[in-house]
Amino acid sequence: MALQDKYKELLDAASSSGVSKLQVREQDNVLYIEGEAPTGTVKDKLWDIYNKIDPDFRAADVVMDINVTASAPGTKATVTTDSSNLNIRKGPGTDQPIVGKAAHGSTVTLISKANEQWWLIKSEKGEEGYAYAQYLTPQ
Amino acid sequence: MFKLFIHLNTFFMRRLILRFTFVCTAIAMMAVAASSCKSGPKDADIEKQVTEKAAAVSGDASGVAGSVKDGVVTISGSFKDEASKDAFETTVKAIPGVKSVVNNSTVMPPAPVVAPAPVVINGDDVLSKGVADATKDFPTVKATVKDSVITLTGEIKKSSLPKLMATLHSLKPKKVNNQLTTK
Repeated sequence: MALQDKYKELLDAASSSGVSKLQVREQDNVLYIEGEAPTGTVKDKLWDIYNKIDPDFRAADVVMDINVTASAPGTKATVTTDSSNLNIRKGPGTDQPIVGKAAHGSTVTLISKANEQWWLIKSEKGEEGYAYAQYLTPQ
Repeated sequence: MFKLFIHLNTFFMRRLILRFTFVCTAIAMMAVAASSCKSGPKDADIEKQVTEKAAAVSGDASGVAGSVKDGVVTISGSFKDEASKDAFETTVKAIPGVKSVVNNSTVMPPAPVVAPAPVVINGDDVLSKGVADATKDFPTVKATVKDSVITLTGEIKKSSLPKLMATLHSLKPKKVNNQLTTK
């Protein structure tokens, strides 16, 4: 219960900002927060609050697994790498061969989600493969 | 003259008897009416009130009803606990006109406590692969996985930390020990 008090602001924000399937459980002194955020903005806001309560996430007493609600196939996404091209791979994993590249700032089409980390996409040039979701921002 | 007197006398006697009969009948009818007034509608009034009180406690009970006969209320239904059952009996006893209460209601068995499902935590193999993907573009970050705990050492740009942490947390580790130096 002490952890739920410590992160009360975070939990309140999660329930008030439309996070669905919200599940909060405490196990072995770690608070597990799971759910689906309606938008990437909500997810970012929750991470901001978490960062404020526990600066730089050093306490290791929370695992916050908040995903953005699965976008419908056909959704366009912008490549939001720092500056480089985004690798498009044959399968979901960095050990998979690269089959193409999507330029920084270009638009790709979401085909499906292999998991939360890897999405199957199609680039502007028509190259199809898996890209790392962290560098894709749904439009 | 005497004959006429007798005749008149009989006439008055008859009227007297008639009047007496009439008064008696009237008294008897009023008595019947009064007694039916006392039992019939009053029971219905009490029952109405019991129903209203039952509706007020419906959050703590289910199927509560009261049947009333001659001012005796019989309560049926079930309550969530002994206290709410007793409280309702007290409420019913306080209704004007209630002579006594037969409490046939029951107490519901407590709902089984459902323990939340344990948190899903991935094993080291799945985590290691995910961590390798997540840290590939952060060459200054070193990550190890042991007993489902991810430990981060090295350094990272402060602005990139939340994004990396969000990805690592979505891999379902037991926890993430962040020992990174931020710059």
